[in-house]
Amino acid sequence: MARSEDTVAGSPPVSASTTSEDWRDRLHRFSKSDFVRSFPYWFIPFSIMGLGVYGGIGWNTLISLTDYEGFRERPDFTSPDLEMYAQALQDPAVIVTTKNTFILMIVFTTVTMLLGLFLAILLDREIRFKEKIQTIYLLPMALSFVVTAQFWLWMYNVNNGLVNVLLGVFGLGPYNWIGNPDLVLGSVIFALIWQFSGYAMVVFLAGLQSLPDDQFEAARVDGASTFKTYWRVIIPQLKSSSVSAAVILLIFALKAFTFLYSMFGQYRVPQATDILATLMVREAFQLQNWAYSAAIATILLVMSLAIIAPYLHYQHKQGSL
Amino acid sequence: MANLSLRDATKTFNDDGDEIVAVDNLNLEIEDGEFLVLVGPSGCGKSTTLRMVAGLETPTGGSINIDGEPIHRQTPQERDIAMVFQSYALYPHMTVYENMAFGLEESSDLPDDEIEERVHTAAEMLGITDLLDRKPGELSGGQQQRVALGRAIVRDPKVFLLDEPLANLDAKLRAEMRTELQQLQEDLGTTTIYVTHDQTEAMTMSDRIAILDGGTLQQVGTPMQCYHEPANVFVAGFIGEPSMNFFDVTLEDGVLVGDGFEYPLSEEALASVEGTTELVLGIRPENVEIGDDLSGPKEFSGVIDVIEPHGNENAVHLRFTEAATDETFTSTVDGMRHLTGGQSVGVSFPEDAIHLFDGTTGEALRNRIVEEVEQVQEIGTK
Amino acid sequence: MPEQGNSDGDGDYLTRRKVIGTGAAGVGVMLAGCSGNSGSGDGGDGGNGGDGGNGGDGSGGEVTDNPMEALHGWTGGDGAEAAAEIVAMYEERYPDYEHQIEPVGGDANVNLNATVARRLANRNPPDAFAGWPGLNMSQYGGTLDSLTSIYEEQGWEDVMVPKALEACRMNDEYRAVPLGSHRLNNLFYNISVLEEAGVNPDDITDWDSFTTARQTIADETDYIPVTTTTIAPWTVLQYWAQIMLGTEGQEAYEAWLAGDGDMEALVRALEKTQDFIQTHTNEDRATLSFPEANDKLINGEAGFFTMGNWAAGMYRNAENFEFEEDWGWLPFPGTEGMYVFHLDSFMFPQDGNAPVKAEAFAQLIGDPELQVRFNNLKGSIPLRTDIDDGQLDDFLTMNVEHLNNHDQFPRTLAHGLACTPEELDACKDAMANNFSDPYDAEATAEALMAVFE
Repeated sequence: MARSEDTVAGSPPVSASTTSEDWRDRLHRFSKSDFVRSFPYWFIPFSIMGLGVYGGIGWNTLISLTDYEGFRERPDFTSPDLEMYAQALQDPAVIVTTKNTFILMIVFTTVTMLLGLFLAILLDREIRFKEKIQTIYLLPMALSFVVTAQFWLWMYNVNNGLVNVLLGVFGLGPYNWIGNPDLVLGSVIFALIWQFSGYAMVVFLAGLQSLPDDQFEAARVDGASTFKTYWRVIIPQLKSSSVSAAVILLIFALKAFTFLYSMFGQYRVPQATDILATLMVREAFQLQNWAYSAAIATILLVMSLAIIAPYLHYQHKQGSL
Repeated sequence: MANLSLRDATKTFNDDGDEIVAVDNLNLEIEDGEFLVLVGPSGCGKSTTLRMVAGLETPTGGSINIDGEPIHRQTPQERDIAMVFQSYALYPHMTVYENMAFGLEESSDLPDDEIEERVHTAAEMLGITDLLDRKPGELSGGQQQRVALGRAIVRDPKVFLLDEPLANLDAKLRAEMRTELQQLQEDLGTTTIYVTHDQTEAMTMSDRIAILDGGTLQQVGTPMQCYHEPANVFVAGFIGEPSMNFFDVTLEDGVLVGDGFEYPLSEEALASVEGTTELVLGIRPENVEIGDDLSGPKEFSGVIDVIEPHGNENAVHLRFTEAATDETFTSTVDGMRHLTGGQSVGVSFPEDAIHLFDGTTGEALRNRIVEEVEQVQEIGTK
Repeated sequence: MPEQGNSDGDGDYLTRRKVIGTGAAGVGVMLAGCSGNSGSGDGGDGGNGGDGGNGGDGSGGEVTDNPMEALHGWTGGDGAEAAAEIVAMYEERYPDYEHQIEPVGGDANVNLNATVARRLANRNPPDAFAGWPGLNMSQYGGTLDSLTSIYEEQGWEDVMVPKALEACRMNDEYRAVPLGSHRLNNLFYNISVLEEAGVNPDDITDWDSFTTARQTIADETDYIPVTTTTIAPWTVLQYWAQIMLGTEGQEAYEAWLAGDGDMEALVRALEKTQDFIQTHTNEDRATLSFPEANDKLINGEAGFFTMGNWAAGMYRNAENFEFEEDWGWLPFPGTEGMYVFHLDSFMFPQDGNAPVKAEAFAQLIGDPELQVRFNNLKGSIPLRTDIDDGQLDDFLTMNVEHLNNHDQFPRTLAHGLACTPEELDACKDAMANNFSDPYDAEATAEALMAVFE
């Protein structure tokens, strides 16, 4: 600090009085600004995160521009091109898994949020045994994918799985939840919804409980029905809860890889549930097509961004973020 | 336009098996167009009463009627009332316009252009037309308050309910809004119940005041009635600022014997307290006269403890010279008069100005004699 | 302390929204970044340059301080016990050699292979890892150490099964040490179920008699004639390979592998495979792992089960379930005289951290005592030809006899001896995409043909 002031003081004398004053003032103010003063606190986490996350993304993207495969050669960065992407866009496996990934993300996130919201509203309306229900709904979230995947594999057993037993009571089924390619993606999504609706519920419940009673009462006195009260007054105020729930759920949708892997015990899962993540892992770790799988990873990244960016933008514009 | 009546309205809450009576057999008649202020200390049941009228609480007993029709079983939506909340309860995600239009959209079948017209009319009346496109978060407290009023006004309901609407404003704004609100209610002529804990608001704004304590109604009357003819010690103490002075006294041979003073009663006054010996003597500070010389049986020697200057007048805290305790009483004197702490003075309680209350029940046995009460009342009620 | 200038619009003032605004894209990127990571399952530290040239250069030098690291995939049941034998013997023989002989869990070696792939790509290889030799080994081409000198020193060329020696060679050098062999063309049966149904196992010699036997069990009893698992495409691929071998013969199978397949033959075998999977089997096959499917045979719910003979390990562990009393074995119908060959081995990457200790480990793997002790527990058979009778149990002894006396040794497809990982992956793709309810034999055959063309 002192040194920089000296330097400023040593600048040409003509008109120095004003400029140096100016400089000094600005420097002084800069050194006292929030930016500088908070620097030691955010810089370290920022740089660690930056290196870990953005560095990883950058490295991944770099690799995807090479032809890197196998064990012998190191990646050759001399002639980067988009060949891997061109190849991926024509690969039927990529197209199918992209479609599945997309369906999984959209359906899972939407239904989980709606269900979570619905449960949260019920709970918020002081349904009895509040504590217990909350714990019960959160329990699945606390379980590892390995446990829940095996659990649902048993649930979906066509002969003695609980799902078919229950449906049997109503004279339905049995359905081959896992064996039937038309059903298996839905079955997997349902299991994921089961696991995460409790989480969505807790997020929404926290949002609901932060709303003062008088919002409900004002709407009632304004003549709104219960449905209209939620639809027009309460739910619109849960935007920030929705953002956090949606973001987390989308991440978990991408993490469905772990669930699928736990369920089927291998990287190759039934075709109808094959997602970009499983394809990526196969290409990388079974076939050593490093560059190709890096390209798939980038596609996955772009896809998640494409889904979440407009939403974040909208929320930011609305002032909820 | 409507009159509202509460008959034996009762509300009890169940708190882990204990019944808590919030409102106890409340009877109130509010005339068409009247501005009634429900006042009382916190926890007295005034808000619960208001919420019962609004339909946010269901009475456990009694009935609430608008124009003779019982409404206490109706949902809030069916009651045609509008309420202004203490926190305003504006919808933060809607613009001012949307906030004001919401109630009309939900409770009426009015076409959009009609709603728009009414919102604009109300906004104009409140001077918030240029705020219509803003969100509540961008408004100041006073502006939010106006929007909350606007939201109620635009509905053109049978009854307005206002729950401490000015409590969140600063003192200056509160005083302005008091007048404006009163003016507004007068212009609209809508039956209004206004809940407050602030007796000044009650005194200045209302046609009539209803004072509640512990869930029971203490007195209903015009501000002047409540001030000059309080029904009991509670009302006497609650209304008026600074508060009335009270002395526990015993009646012995026509003389009120208190701590440090003895006050002989006239025949007429004695007659009004006949049969009761344990009494409370009350006198408003402005009636406590401070003089230099002691003459006459209703004058006592006292010592000035503290003086609070208020500008136009001073609140003087005094003690009887012969009192056994340190308790003080208050007198208000002209602001120009020169008094100092520690000074010995003569204190006189004119008999016209004293109130006598039953020492056990608190009931007023004799109120001060005010010839002008009738006149004052005339002026008070428009 | 706080300077007034800051709060009234002094430019530097950082608002939360400003930070969010500028970082908006970043947040998204970060999220997907996390997800990308999670996608890669274990580790996924991409390809950061390895630790470069490491000290110990393979050829017989000093003993380094580094522990010898060997990775394998035997985590469950008898596999873990068998692996414990390796650890025990290594410690017995080389008490001074520090080691990390560790399992990497997961079905069908997926995690082991992934871990090895990652380590090799990162230039941080383990000293040894278990894997399938044969064409599967080709993926590691150039990264594996030559073991020829050890072979010569130990004289293994004279005492190992020639089939195994051949499978362990790549680029004219030995690059893997065979440890044990499983057999794929098995048809296990529950004796009491067959008896009850009146089916004589000796009558089951080909596909038609097998079909009759399945039909008989279905007609005569309430048992499931064949218990199956289709949760993983490799099982379907394996079913088809056995049926192809049993009905079209080894020549047709190998012609296909050589890129000279007969489309019609493939279609015929695929149609039979569909029938095998769909008819007279358990409906819950899509949710069962192979041990769960095998349980049905042990529990007496099902008549037949086909699987590599690691499945027999479960019978050995089951109580009161004895070979030739409670369960029996047949070659898969039509594969009499064949031993469909599978091989487990250890491979030794170049640039290991503990070359001397690794060489000791390689010698141990080829040791006859270790092969007996390991394979008796694992349910596979040793590849040494100089092992005395009586050291192995009856079922394994029978398999050793078959290995020594049969003359047809088609290599397993689903376990990597017959094809490269890319080809295996393409075969699984063909099955997953066209042959998992609905079953399209024509399309599958076309896809399978395309793999080796």
